[in-house]
Amino acid sequence: MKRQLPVIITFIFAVIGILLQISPIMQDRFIDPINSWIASISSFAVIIGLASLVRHHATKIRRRHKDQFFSFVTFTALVVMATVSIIGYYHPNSLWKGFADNLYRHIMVPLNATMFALLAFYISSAAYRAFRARTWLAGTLLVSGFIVMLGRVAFGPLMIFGEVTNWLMLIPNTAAMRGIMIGVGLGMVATAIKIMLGIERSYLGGGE
Amino acid sequence: MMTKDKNVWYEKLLAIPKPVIYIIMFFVVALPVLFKMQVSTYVTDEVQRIYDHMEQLYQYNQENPDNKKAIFIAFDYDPATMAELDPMSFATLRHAFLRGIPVIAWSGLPTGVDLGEQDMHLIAKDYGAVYGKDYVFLGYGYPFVQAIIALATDVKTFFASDKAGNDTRDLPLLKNIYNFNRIGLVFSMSGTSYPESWVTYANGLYGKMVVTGSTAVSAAKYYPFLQTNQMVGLMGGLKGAAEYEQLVERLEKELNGSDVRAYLETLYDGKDLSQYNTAYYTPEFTPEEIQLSLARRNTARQGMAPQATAHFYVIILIIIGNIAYFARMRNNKR
Amino acid sequence: MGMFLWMTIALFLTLAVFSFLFRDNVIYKFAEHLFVGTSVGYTIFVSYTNLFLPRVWNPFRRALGDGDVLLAVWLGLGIVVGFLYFSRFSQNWSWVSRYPISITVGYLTGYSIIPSLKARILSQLYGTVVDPAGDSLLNAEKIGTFFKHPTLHNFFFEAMAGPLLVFGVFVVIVYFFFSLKNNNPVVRFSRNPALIYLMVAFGASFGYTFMGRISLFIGRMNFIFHEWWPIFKNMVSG
Repeated sequence: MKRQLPVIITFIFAVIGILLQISPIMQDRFIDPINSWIASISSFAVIIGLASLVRHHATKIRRRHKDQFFSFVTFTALVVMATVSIIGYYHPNSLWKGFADNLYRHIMVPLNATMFALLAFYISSAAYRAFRARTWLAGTLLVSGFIVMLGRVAFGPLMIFGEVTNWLMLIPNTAAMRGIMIGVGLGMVATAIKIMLGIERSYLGGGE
Repeated sequence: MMTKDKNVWYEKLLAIPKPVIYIIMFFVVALPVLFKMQVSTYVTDEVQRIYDHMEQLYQYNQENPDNKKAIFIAFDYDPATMAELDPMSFATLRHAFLRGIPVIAWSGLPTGVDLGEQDMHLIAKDYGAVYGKDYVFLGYGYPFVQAIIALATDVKTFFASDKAGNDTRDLPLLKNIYNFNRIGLVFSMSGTSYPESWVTYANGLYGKMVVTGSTAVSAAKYYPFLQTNQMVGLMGGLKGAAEYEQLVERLEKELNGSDVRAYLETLYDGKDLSQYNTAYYTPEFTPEEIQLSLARRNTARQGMAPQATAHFYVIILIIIGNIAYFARMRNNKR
Repeated sequence: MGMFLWMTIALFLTLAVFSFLFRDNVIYKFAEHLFVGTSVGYTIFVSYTNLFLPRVWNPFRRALGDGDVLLAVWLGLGIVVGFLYFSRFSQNWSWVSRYPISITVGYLTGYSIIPSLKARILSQLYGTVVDPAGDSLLNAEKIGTFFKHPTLHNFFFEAMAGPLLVFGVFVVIVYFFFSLKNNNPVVRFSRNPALIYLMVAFGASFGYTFMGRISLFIGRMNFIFHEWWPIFKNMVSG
């Protein structure tokens, strides 16, 4: 009931998924209803993730954690953003919609973008401190990296790097990435079959 | 144990503090941006193919005006990667609106939904495109596999309403174009592995032509798909965006003249403004909006100069680091 | 004026995050927590308006409105099953959430087997034998083209492109498949060429990765110098 039945259900729906691709009759008659059904169930998974996150921050505030001020900031931002956006959705020509758009464009977007922009500094510092051509293979990696970096910004006399970069990407890079992709693809298909047959059950979580 | 003599030149080099590296990096990038330095960029085959396919789609639509095909854009990115992917999206939308190719779109990431929608309205405003007739933004395409399956049959069953809350059955564009049969090209703009999923399902199962606009971080791994034609084109990073921007700008100058400011200022003169719903955009430009619209046409190409200086800087850093390292190793061996 | 104020807030938040480069500080922490809060709040909004309404509620209401009772019952059942996810919050009943998980995982897993096999394995293997134009990659004609017009470009892009690609895929696959130490001559011979191909590919990835990271920073500089600054200048000058 707790583990056996879910494994059987997994197998049944996996078979349905396969049949929906190979059987034209099933495709014509059942694909839309089954698709909509699964989509509506999957939508609740996102809601659960959000509920967990909100609960985590609410607990921090309730327990008066030393960083509770910042949890307050998070919680307030969460409530304001959600409320204003939902009101703006129902009143699209109102100030609320404009306010929601501005919150998104001028608060969420710059914060999100700048968090990742920090990586430019970290990568340059890491490149200086850690990238050493200790072996001939590491040297090959560095030379290839230099050629691509120069090649992708090449102009005028540097265009030779552009040509070499094109060749590097189309031949050795494609060959290596393809080899990796085939290996990963085989692993993915094997894991999918293991899940379907109930050999792999980690998605059910721990406990009885 | 060898003690390090910190006054030796290579030890000084290896001990350069991080703030110094950061500050130099800041100036190396900020100065070219500030002075609007430009370097020319060459167009690669991968991007030229995208442009050519769009032009073929335009030709097809001209020959079959009652059976037009649209492009589908998946804005599978969020603000974290918009610096690279927004310019590509803008260039693609410009090309589509310039050629009257209908556009249907969704976003694959929850935090990117408004970004995709706002991008579409911003560019649509530059060409007087009408929401619901020339372009539609469906909203959040989740769960992904089910969304693609729905796009193969009838996307209106999956999206009962679009992002703005309109019933999808009432939108004129979706009355005729609602599945893969009437979609000529699928664009996946993404910083994650969504393009692989588009290739797996849209191309693998339904034979659709997939174009990828990806961040530079992910671009290298898509070349195998390019070689097999599972992807018909690839815009990799800011460079790819700059190439496509360049091609589209040439087209825009050909069609609308080289004075873009004058074109924008007079775009809505004499037009029936009642067809434009102000919930999406106001059909007139303020001076700031014109300024931003002009800047937006050049974003990726202007980014190539600071990109070049940053690349030179890091290559020099790595070479210096290695020279100092090997000098230290040689000294230690003695 | 309104746009200038909002853009100045965006500028302040950008600089607040950049302040972390020097050290962790209160302003950065504030910006970080604001980011988490607004992201989650926005995701709640998207989940309600772009997930729950169009995917759960509106189709159910539409089926009822159209009089399609069978579809309405079917979708209603889906909503009930979806609600079983909430049992995760209970210690004693959390096992009930395995049912909706097993439905979605099972369906997605089954659906993905054939497309993944086709896109990632079969098409890739096919592409290693035949190019999109239908010609074989190990093509003596292309080698002939090089001898007719012996240029560097023809050598690398025509004559040797196919053989190098085929050889590269082969040695990389052998390298990954036979990862344990092996005395077989094919495995031993493949090791160094495979490593060269892999190092060249990883070097190219590094180059692209660096390009990507810098682009994100360029984006922020563009915002400051080409979006905020012109508006500030316009405001100050009149």
